[in-house]
Amino acid sequence: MTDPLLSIRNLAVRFRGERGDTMAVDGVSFDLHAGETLAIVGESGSGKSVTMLAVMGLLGKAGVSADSIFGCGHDLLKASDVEMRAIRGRQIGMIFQDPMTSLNPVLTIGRQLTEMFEIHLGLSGAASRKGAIDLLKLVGVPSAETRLKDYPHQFSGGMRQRVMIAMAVACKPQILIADEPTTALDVTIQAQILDILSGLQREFGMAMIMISHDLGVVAGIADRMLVMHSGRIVEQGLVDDVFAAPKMPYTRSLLAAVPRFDLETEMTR
Amino acid sequence: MAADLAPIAAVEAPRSPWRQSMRRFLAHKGARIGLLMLAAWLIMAVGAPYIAPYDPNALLGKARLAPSLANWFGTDQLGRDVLSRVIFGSRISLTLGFVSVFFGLVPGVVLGLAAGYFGGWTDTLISRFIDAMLAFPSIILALVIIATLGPGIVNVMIAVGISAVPEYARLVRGSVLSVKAQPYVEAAWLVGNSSARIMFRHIFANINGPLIVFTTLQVGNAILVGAGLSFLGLGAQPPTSEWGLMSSEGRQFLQRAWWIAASPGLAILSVVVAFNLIGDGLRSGFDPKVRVR
Repeated sequence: MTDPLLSIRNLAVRFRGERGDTMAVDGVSFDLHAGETLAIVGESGSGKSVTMLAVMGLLGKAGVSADSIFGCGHDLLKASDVEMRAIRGRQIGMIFQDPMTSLNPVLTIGRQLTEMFEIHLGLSGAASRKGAIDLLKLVGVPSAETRLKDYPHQFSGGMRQRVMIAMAVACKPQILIADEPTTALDVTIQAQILDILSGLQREFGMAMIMISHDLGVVAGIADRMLVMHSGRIVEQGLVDDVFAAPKMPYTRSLLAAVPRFDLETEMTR
Repeated sequence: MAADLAPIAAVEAPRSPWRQSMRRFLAHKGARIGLLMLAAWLIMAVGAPYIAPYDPNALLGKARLAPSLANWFGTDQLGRDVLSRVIFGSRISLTLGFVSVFFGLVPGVVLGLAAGYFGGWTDTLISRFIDAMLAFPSIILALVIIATLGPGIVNVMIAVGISAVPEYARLVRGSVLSVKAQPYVEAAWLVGNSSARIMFRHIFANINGPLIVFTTLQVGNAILVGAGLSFLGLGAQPPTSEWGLMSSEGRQFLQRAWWIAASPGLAILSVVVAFNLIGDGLRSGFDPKVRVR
């Protein structure tokens, strides 16, 4: 088997608080291979997002410790700020939970999209504009040419999330991290966004990490899943295996919390 | 039927937050009055040699003439036309207002951005420095700087500018702190932007509203402090026609020839009021919570 794209060993994140430290992530290890979709599930505060923010270097060096973090051929623990900037957005793209607040309200969509090309590919002017238009078309934003001049407030939530996805995949990253990309959207839009994500993943051959607490989303899109609870991974395996035969009581209770139409319950009987 | 269909409404042209603010600004009645007053002063400053009835330094013979048709604002203690001197004085005062604001704005913004964005010891260092400077009233601070640099109108501009640095820095730091916590700043960082780019492009673009309002008000304030320093003899030197200096010179004749001191005083008042009106208008323009009446 080839080397994993992302390999994390024994990651721990400690937040300093007034009443002592809190371990937000404790001894997390996993691998992500090229082309696969890995889901990280767990309740709010289980450490899903913090794990990925630590990998991206957003939490700084203080409080974050690990035996090793390798991503896209780089040692992310030892990478300098300049190296990390080149990796973020270029090799690891990220999509956020709330598209309403993740775009800068005073910059046009076009400016925010072309920025990606400017920073990472050194493109400017007509070349970056064309790239931005192509991207918007790719994620299904209609009349892309004219919408480049629009501001985020002129977009609906679903359209904004498409723009966020366009920004995240602008430089064709090897890894795409989607942090609850559909949580803030309504159900029909959720399905469209998930379609776009898996389509882009196939097209660009990206590996994807889907952070979610929505097991329905996970079942539909992921190959493997990690279940996190209180900062630790309590169970991991192929999605089908975990759904069919959860080993840990926490996973069982997570699965039991989802209404299922294929099972007869007390209520429906 | 196609013919029955109403034509599709033209899509509303994208309106930037900036243009929305300017629209609200221009709808503000006070702001329009302020703009008119400022425009009048700007025209007078630029066209002073054509508008002023006399040479501001020419001695017309009779001193302390009361206002009349020949000398609308009378003549001063040396027999110079007060109106002409007020008109020429607008050049110095307006230049002082704009230039000194620049001296305060640029370092203030850089310090505030750095303090708010980097936090930690950078913030501690800059904030303590700002606090120390804020302990002095700005005119005292300006006096100290003038004492160091020596009197003169250019030094007044520098002094008035620098004395406003802490206020700019404090305003910017506070605004940065509130904007920095927004998800889009985190997002900008996670797509690979450098700190400088995030500070100047992503954060600065979101805090320039309050900054523009404050800067406008500060122009009026700078003119006032500058005139104050000239009044104290530390700024413009005779025979320059500068409003603060003119008020100072007319002060000893206040009982017999009030117009010598009152005319430049009214000029200062009207310019400061103009900037305050514009500032109020801008505030309602940039802050959607303030209703335009």
